[in-house]
Amino acid sequence: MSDHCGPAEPAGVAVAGRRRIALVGSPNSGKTTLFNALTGLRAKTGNYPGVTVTRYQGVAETALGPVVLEDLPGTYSLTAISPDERIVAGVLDPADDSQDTPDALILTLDATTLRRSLRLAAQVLRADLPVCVVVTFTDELTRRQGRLDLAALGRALGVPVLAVVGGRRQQLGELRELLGGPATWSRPLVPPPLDAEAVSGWVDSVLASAGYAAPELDARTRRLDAVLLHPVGGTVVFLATMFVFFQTIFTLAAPVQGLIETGFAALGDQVRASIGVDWLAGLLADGVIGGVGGVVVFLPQIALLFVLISLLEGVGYLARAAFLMDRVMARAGLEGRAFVALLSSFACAIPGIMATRTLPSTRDRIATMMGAPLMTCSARLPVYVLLIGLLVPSDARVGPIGAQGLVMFGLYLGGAVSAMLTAWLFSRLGRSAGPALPFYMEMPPYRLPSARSVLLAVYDACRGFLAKVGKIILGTTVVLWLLLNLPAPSDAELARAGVDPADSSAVASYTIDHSLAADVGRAVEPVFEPLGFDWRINVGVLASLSAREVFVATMGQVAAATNPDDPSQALADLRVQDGPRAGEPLFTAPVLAALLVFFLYALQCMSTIAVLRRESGSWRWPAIAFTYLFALAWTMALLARVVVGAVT
Amino acid sequence: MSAPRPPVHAEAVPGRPSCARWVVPPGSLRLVGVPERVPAPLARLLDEGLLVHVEVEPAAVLLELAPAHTWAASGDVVRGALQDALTDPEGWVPADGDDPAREHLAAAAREVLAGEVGAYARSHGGSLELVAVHDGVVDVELRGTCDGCPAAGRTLEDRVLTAIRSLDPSVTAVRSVRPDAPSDRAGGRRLLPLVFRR
Repeated sequence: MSDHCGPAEPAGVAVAGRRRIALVGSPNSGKTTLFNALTGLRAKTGNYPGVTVTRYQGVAETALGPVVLEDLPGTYSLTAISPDERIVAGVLDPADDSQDTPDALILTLDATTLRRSLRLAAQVLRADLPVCVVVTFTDELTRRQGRLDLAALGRALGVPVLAVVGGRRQQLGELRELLGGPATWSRPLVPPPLDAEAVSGWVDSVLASAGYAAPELDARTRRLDAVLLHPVGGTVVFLATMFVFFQTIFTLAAPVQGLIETGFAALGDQVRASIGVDWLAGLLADGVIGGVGGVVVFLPQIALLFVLISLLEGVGYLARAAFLMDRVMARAGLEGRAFVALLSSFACAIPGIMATRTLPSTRDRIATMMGAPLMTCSARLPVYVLLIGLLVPSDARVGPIGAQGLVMFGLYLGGAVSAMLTAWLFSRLGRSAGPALPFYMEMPPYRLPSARSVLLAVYDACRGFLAKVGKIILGTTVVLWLLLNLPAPSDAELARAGVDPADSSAVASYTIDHSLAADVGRAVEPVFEPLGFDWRINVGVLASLSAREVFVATMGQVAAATNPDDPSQALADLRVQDGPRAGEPLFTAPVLAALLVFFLYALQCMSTIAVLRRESGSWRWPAIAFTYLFALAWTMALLARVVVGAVT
Repeated sequence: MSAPRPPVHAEAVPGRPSCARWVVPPGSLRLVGVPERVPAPLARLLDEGLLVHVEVEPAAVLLELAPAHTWAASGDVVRGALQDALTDPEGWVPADGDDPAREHLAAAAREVLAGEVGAYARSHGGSLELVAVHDGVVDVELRGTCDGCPAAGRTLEDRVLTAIRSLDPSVTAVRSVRPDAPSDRAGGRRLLPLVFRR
């Protein structure tokens, strides 16, 4: 800092010169928990490898003033094969100008997996930076009959070592004290070796010196794993779990959904009754309340989906599921990491696509990205629920099982299988097979997740859903309402058409039939005609390109216009207006099946396209994905219509 | 290099920055002090002037680097040479051929009694003194409050045995002897404890 211009600043307050300390560690080593505890920031932490994919920065108070803390992506090594590892390696390499090298490092080591964690330590200690080691999960180590002498570990590593369990206050105090002065930290006298075999020897020697006894797997975990990781038994349990999962989503959410539906209907009536201006009342009641309400109805199901996902994750089952699937994925030419990415896509394709950053080979990354949008994300849920409700009566049963849940299970399974096949296909297209790289995956011991972490996950998901409703969906529905209601017909025009201007429902039907939206919907009719879609469905499908849930909102508006008192009945009663099928019900079983399958495959999500662009670095892959998924959706929908038509 | 290299790591020696204390697997060397001769890989580094001093401790080798060199730069070379030298235990020739194995065990025992286990005894108002080492057996005298307390004696014997074993696996037993009693009390040889940890 000798080239300072202007007056010298008082020592210690220069913001630009504020010390930067980076957190390095394996996924699941408690790194993010420590980061949150030190900075007071709330970032999502999970029981699941690969959660930390973005860079987090925060300010931590230390004994000598604040320092900037950076949470680096979790990594098992610095060999710089996967994008995550490249980031970390780049940050730690002073010669790499693309990343700022921090002034010091905090290395988190999981005491329960110390042998593996020390391999990363060997690489980190070779970086020419002050390092301080924080050993985490020492409480669990003790509980599971493991042992570790921290002082001896400190001597063997040659750097300060201290234990911090789950961000405990007193231990954090010691760490803050230490973070004040990285310059005073002891540095390793002899850097650890570089080549793999020598590192193993170094790790053995350090562990022996620190009196390390690895923790025993607790008996409960071992017994459960004997069943849950069994190739046959485990797969059966996995499928059964998923099955119960979807049954639960349907049966538990229904009563709450009914309440929300009634609430929005009452609100709509209230608005209609109290606003004198007809068009404004229509916009608010049908457009805003009808459209938004139609989507918000699915909040209970979204909440339930995330309760179940975070329960499965927190209990430690998702890691097992990924392990089981690793075998299946291996057959598809992919590795377990790809399954982790695909699994995240159950919630939303965006985190799934971002999780591909942990994949070392570009070929696998692209293949997984192409498959991820096919996994059934939570945005498809409202569409599926609406269409299944029309297709299958709620009391229909197959034996003792609700038929609606069964269809839903089938759709999720179909999405998953299609995603795998797509990934397999694209990994095949990418010519040469790279070297098989080891896949590390934590098998956390089974434990009950804290209510707080489950609630937090659900809260985040619901907030995200409502925010999406508030922005994209509200905006789209208002535009749609305008398109559906303009141009407003004059009385003369109505009279010419033989519509009684006093019959509001007849007027509404006439208006929609001759609206701008109808023109658009009719314009694309040739494309969707073979699938049995009429212009109203076409408008819904086109609108859902912004976000899938908009389809539900559009159908809600169309139905509300014909029969505002009972939109769901109105939807079921919709009839085809013109063409050879005129007069027949619109939503027949073959058409519904075609629609469901279309939504299973089509890439109707602007956010996913944007993320694909960002993660793949060009418009090429999003364009390919959109095109092939549309073609696939169209073909499969036609197939579904023909098959269901032949059966019924 | 077909045989696997023995695992080692280096620790700092307080007050002697040019020295590194290389922790080696217990039992790999059966001598202590400055050896008369070391195997070729290490001898070469001494000849070249990279290393100026080699000294063997129980389960460790103290190496001193010549002033012009740094451990950061020369660490990998020295590590490799040391590991190669450790695969040839016969190449380490002790300075005087009295009974190097016994001296190694005695040094290990002294290190243990001076270290944590000794500190533990002192914290309880007692102390431990090394009396004799013979045929893999270490005789220790209990003094202070430890004396006369059979439970404490047994616990200490176990602790001392475990700690010495981690430096010299050739130890077979630790016996506590009274200051006045003959060192070979009847039935005094303890059986191996049922449980011990390395």
